[in-house]
Amino acid sequence: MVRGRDSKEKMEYSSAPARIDGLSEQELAARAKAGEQEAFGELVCRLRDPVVRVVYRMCADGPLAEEAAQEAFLRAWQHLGRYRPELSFRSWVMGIAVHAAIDALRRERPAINVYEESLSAPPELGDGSAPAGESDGPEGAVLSGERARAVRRAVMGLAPASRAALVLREFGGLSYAEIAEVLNIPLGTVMSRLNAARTQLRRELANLLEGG
Amino acid sequence: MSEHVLGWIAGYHDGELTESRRAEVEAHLGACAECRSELEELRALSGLLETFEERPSSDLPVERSRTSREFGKQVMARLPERQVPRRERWLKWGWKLAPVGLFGVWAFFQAALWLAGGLRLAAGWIPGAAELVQSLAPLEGLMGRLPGGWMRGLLGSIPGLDGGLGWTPPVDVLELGLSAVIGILLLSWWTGEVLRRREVREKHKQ
Repeated sequence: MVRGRDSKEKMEYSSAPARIDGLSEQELAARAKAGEQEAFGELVCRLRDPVVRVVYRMCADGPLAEEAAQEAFLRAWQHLGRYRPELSFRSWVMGIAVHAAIDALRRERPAINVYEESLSAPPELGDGSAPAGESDGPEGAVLSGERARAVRRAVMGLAPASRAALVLREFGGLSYAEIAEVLNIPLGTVMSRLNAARTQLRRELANLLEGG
Repeated sequence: MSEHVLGWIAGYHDGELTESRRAEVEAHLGACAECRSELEELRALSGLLETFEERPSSDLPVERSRTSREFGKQVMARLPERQVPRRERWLKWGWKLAPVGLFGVWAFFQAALWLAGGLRLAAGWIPGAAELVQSLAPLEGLMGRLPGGWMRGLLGSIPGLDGGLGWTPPVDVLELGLSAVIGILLLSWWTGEVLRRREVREKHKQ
């Protein structure tokens, strides 16, 4: 019985790429909006890494980022009817993911200590880049690790609203207009939040910025 | 030297300026060390943010694909029923609610008739009831034609049912029959919808 279901699942997943692999994200989104679960599944697989990457920078907690990313995709599915194709599907999901991350932080870690030295491990991401400091030898690795932790502390020290705008811009690559759309705020507010976030980060990371 | 463009530097850095504004900022940057330094700091900050700790699982594409597929499977297993937007919901449900509307109209006219009948009985001893009955007269006139008159006409056209049998079904029976048909239609739609939802839920559980 179980074996039968497993083989069915395997068949569904192995047949998916053959039919929808060549479709763009927007085409897949249109199909998913029409109720095609297979198209949505393909979108989830494609967008998992960028979404987790953005969410991780919102909450600095690997398991929480994974959970929030899953929650974001579930919310995206539920509200697909509200998705407008003028906005890229990727940007739309990232906006949902940022909200999911803020909710997850409120729910899971109401008293999060952003200055905590060893936060949980980051999620497994497959961007092919080398881990921080890996190629610089032990000393370089220590320095890179310290710098990464300082950056993480500074980002987590930002107000959630400013952090969301910064993360979507710097790590998600969204335009001001897209950020305004997904966070449902005016364009001017996006600019002021970005400015506030960058000013605070420049102040807190002044030593690292001066040291290069 | 032209005026500082500090207010435009972030927009320039983020690629958000119009063509003409960008040209303006670039021309200024060539001559102003202060604005250039501001831009360099923003670029340095973006570079520094890239070091936000991250640990890739593997450089192998196969491994990356496996992680994403696993994640996809987990999400798909938890997929809830989709929320239909209000407009789609109305299109889906609106026509199904038509019998309810019809029934409501019929119930309204019927209630008015009963009220008029009651008031006529009480016209002798309730002050003002006679006027009220008069005001309901047009409604009674309309009800005299609908649905009874219409139905009688229809039934009369069916050979053997009217005259031939020497019997015409009473209007009340016809109205009751019509209500029953509407009710059965409504009930069957609702039952179908409940069964469909149950089926979707079962599918998601699997």
